[in-house]
Amino acid sequence: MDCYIISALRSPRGIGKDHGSLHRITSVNLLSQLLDAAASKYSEHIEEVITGCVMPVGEQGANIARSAILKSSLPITTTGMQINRFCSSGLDAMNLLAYKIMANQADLGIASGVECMSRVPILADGGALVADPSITYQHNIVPQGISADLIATLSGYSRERLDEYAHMSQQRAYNAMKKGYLKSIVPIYSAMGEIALAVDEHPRPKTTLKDLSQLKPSFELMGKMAGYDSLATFKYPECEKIEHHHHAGNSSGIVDGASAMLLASKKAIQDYNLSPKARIIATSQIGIDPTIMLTAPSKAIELCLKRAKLKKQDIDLWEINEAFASVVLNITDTLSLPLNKVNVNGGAIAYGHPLGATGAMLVSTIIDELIRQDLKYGCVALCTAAGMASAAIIERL
Amino acid sequence: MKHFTLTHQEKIAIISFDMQDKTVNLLDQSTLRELQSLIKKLNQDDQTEGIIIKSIKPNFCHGACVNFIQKIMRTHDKAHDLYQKIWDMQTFLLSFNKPTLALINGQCLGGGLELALACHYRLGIKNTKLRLALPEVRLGIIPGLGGTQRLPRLIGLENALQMLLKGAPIREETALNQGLIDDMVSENQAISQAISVLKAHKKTPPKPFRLYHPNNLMTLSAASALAKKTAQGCYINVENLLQAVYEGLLVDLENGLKTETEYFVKTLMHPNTQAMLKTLYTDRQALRKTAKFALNKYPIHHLGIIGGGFMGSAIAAHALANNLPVTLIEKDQACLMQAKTHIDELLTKYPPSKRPKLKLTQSYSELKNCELVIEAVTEDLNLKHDILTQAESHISDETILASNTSTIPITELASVLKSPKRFVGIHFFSPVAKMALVEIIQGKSTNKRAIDIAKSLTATLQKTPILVKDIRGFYTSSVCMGYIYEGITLLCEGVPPQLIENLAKQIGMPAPPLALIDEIGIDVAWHILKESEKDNNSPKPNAQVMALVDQLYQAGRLGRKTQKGFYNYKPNKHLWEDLQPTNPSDIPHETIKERLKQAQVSIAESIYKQGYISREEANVGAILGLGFCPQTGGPIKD
Repeated sequence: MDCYIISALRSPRGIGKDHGSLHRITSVNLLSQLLDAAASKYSEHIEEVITGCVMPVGEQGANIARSAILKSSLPITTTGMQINRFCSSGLDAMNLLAYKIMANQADLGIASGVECMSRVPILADGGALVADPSITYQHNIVPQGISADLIATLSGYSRERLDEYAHMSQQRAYNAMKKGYLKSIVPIYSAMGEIALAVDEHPRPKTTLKDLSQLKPSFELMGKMAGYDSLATFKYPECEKIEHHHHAGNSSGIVDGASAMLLASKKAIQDYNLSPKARIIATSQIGIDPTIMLTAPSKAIELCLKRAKLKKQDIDLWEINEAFASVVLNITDTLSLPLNKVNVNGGAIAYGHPLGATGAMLVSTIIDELIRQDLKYGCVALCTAAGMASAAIIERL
Repeated sequence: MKHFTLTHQEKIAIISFDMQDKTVNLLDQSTLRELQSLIKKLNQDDQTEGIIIKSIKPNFCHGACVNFIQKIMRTHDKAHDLYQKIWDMQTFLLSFNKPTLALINGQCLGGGLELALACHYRLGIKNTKLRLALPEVRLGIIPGLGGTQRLPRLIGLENALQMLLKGAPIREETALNQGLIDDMVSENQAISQAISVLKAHKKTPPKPFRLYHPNNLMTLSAASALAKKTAQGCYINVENLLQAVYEGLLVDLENGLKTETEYFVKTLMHPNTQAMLKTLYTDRQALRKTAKFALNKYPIHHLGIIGGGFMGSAIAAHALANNLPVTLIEKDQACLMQAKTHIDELLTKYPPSKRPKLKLTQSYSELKNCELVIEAVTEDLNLKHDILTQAESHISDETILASNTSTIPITELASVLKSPKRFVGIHFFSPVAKMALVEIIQGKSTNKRAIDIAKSLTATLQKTPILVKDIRGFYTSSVCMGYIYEGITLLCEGVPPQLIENLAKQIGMPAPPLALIDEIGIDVAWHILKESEKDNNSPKPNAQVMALVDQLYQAGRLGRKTQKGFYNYKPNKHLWEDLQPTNPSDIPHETIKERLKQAQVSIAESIYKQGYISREEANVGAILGLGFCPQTGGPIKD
């Protein structure tokens, strides 16, 4: 059984601070607006909603999927389930729903993601991963920025190389926004019914390499003072010390956002006369050492290609989440991927990374571009906290 | 009652702690049993409204007696039995049903502080040099009478982890700020103030601890990382300590105490804990005891030192700080003044006290009152021979002559003396103030009296002595050179230098080998290697190793003193880039670690097997002298 993508939509990404344009929109409200947009006129037939959310506490807690269904136009018969695999949650929501459809256990549903980072901040959910010494001490758990700097150190990426990549992300985002390539954005409305935000507000198109070069490293102080550098060199004793090259300008930004995609079986397509945009060919997940944490997409991609029976060269476009500049460079170097096929419209360094929503956002981005360039295969991959990655390969129809 | 007296004042019971036959108060079977029966009796006494626990001695309590802990370990060899035994004590500390107050003076350490923490209130007495600490982590164990649970609940996670993980004492200002003590009172008002605190007592329900507060999460995460930075994964007690704090703070106090007891037992049952306690407590105490015994027999009233250079002045300063008068000889006035400046500077780092007399002179005849004279001049055989001959002609027949040499055989030095039997090696380690070990070297003719007087000196100077026969490099230097030699050998085999350094730390070595040789000096190592090249009895150094050391030596890269060696020191300490191998070897990390450890073990074993040193002294010496993997209890196993 195949699983088809009927539509893949996303909110614009609002700056994840109290002056951000989405800050006063509740996470339930934001997600329900996306659910309504994705369900479109097929609301009554939606069986299941799976929502990726990484900080599922407070207003994002208690299964936000079901709350958003109740707030939306979907019927009470639609069930909701919230999942969390950190930064790949949005893609995992798609993958999980696809498995249900492929297994003939569902026909029409919505895979979604939401993260209001200005409202429910990182670490709000606590977790043994950061607190329990039997995890942190034994497995050398460091903050993600330290892992990104460790990757840069081991791969020998200079500050300049990382900044050049970040600059390219901003330029590509600027180009895509200017030329209207980003078709899948759904405007978000305020309580009064006015548009609160219709375009991404995080990119800084005027950023120059010189601007970037003047930013202070973000993780140097914590690396030295809180002992995290020592954990990294404990696990990777081939490093004499950790070079701290990442900063606010070459790391993904903190934003608010949501995404939703309508997935259907062949039967649903026939029953409701739907026109699919793409087909999900293969998916994969893999875990690696949690200290280096962020290099797992290489392995996830290889596994996904194997399942899809495709070669790297067959993939026309890649979306590899720009958690940090070193992550994308490490993966493209490891797999010898040409940068002109990777994140061609910019990534999370420019747009921001609304944790649970990003996975599904990258699918919408790659579908837009496959259509625009009239190409066939796209691969999406995201690294996650604690050393995991998810990937998926889709075929545009 | 042997250890406590009980009085009453205004319906408040005053329990005064004065452990029988001891200079300090300790918690052991006998004192705990007495205290327990007192508390039990007072709990049932309707006339008692509150309880004060205080000390008659200058210090409140030094905590649990290590012998007592070791005895419990011996008599309860099953984890479950040991748990029951410890839990009985924890239950006792949970039984303070009447309002209870600890009136703390002087040192309040380990179990002593845990006793105070179990009370409802803690008042400190002014002007008693208040010092509060939970030093268990330094002994290789963890607090087992509530310290990991009550301290964070009282003073917060960050402050508590500082005290628990470092084991360092805090003083009254900090204790007051953090809320560890409620107030400071003057000695003459202590009882009346304690009584009024107890009379005003109101029951307050315990506040639940919010471990999953973001601030606590960051604290815990960083504390765990910093603990690993220090412990390098070598110390089971550090891991258990963190785990007890984490798990215990997620439940209520009584359940938390059960968790602590489990991790305490788990720590005690671990073979590393037992090995560490044996070497660093039992064996070390035994060695110090023999030194104290020697001190009683041969007290030293006056120390003579010849040579006021780096080591000579450091030994002099340390002696003066320990109230031992010193006569120091130098060749001219300029050198004497230089030594004086250096000694004064070193003395500022010791706690202030009245210092005994320092006599600076060029005249050997001033040495006639000394029981012991140490020469600490440059490592030059002829110079030393000359000085020793001169000294011998001026000192009394009773005086012992010693050398602080770290390289020249004692028997060789003694060869010019009329009476070589009174000549002994006393090898101090640098920095003298900090290093706890002194290596006493027995030459072929050295007699027992000379050794005893050398030991007596170590007792006066608060050091631990080990006795070694006169072999080349003695004991600690030989083991240390073996370690460094293996480090350089690995480097020559193509192992990247940073890997050697990082992996050395991971076996528990405080100083990695290449950093260590830079501290010692490449020139020193070069000379030692050249000597062994000439010596038919020692194995020839590897040609590549010799070539590399020679290359650094010839290039003037002599180590930290020249700001370059295996490391560059300017602008920051950083491994010399030229050491990076062009074809890095793929020797597994575990093999590298094993080799760095085994290089030391095999030298120590060989010296031990030849009968040059006892097992206990080899283990204590290796750990105290060069920091050999302390978690193992030393290089020589049973």
